[in-house]
Amino acid sequence: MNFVDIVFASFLANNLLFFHYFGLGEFLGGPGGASLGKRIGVLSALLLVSTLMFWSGDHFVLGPFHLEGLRTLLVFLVLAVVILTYSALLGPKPRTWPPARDFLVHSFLVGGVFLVGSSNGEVLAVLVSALAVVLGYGGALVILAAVFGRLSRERIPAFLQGLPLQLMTLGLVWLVLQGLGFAFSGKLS
Amino acid sequence: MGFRLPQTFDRVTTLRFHLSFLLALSPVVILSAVNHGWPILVTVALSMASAWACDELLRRVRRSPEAPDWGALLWGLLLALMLPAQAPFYFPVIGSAFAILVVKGVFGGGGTPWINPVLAGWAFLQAGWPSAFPAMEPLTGDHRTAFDLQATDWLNANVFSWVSVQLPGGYLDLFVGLGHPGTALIVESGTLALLAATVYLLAKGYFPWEVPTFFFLTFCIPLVFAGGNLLHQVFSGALLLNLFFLASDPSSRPLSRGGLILFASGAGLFSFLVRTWGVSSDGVGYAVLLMNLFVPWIDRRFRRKSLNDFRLA
Repeated sequence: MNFVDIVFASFLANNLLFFHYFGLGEFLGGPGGASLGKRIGVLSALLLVSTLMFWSGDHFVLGPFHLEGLRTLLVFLVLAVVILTYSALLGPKPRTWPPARDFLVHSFLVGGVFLVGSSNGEVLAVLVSALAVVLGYGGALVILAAVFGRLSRERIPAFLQGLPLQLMTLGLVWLVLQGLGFAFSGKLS
Repeated sequence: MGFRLPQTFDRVTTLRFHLSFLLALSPVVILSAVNHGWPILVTVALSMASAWACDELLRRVRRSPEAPDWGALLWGLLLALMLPAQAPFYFPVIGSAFAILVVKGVFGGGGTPWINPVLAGWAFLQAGWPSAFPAMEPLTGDHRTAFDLQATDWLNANVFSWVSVQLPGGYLDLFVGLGHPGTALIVESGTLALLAATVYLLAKGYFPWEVPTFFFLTFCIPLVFAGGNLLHQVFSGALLLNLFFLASDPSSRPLSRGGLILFASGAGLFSFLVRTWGVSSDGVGYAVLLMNLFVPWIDRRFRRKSLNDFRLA
């Protein structure tokens, strides 16, 4: 799998927001707090660092000592270190990360680490995967934020407003991304 | 009487706008029916009738005061053109129902859905019955018609020989829409009529020139550099229909000129990627749908300055 394939696979076929954590509705109310660019930037840095830590532990410790059963534990250990790091940098209750979104952020990090860690690839491929995951996640955020903004100005029937409309929107967006991923399916693995 | 389109600034009403498109596209249906037989007419009629019935149902449920503007009929016709020539009778019915009742009914608000209903209906059908949609096949020239054989020979002997160029076999069939298998899309058999319709509608000013121009350039330039077969890629599948009719849909395209250029460029680039690296069916529609999703964001970035932007805080 080359890097172009990895990027398309992560954006379209393995988009974390749509294919792994579909329905984590806390974020769906719309963007707030930090700007979208800042959030994606922080997430990118965290995902890269955590991925690198996970890959190092897996490659240099678990693999050589045949401790693959401890891989999940390593994920949580890495995650704890990352959360401690950004808590130390931004404070224990940083304003830029409202508590309601922490779960999504953590899920994203765990999912990203699992996703890219399970590939057992070279470190460069793993890092490209991590960046591609961020690209897919960021693209999904941009789409959802803009679409929900547009929907707020539309004349939507009362019985559909709220969660039903959000879920139907997610379904429609999923239909598009899944279809585009399907169009690339011959190249994605 | 229809209401005025917000994107056009002349006296064109939506009714006249849609009627012009319906008239311009009717030769495509006729040419396709000549090539594939009368079942094409049934598919088109079912699609248009279903779309009209669903739209009427929606209007009655919503108690809409606006008179019908024939937009649903146009959507039904465009959806039918995106279907395979041998599509079962329930394809146009289900696709039209999804396009009108779900996409227009739920997301359309005042009748202007932000995502193209025709493409959404097509994507729904393709997700449900992927094997019914044909894969893009390379141009081999193995099944050339007599017209292609004779016309290509004549052109090579009398025209192209002057510039020392030889036209390979099969391209005239592709251009005229002949020799397609039954699994080909309906629109593929009416390429010549589709181009004529495009010229007519462009002359009437019903397309913003930015969309087809930048869509075409961002599709073709990378394709040439990648060594792709340009003529085959342009004239096969539903590229031309997407380029001129679906990407240019007034309700689901950006409003500003910069937005239109960005939208069309993204659609063209994604179409190139799908056509170059994709191996399944024609995914150009997905590229346009993906850019539809970005339209609210594009409109926000490229919105026109209004007095509110200059007011004192």
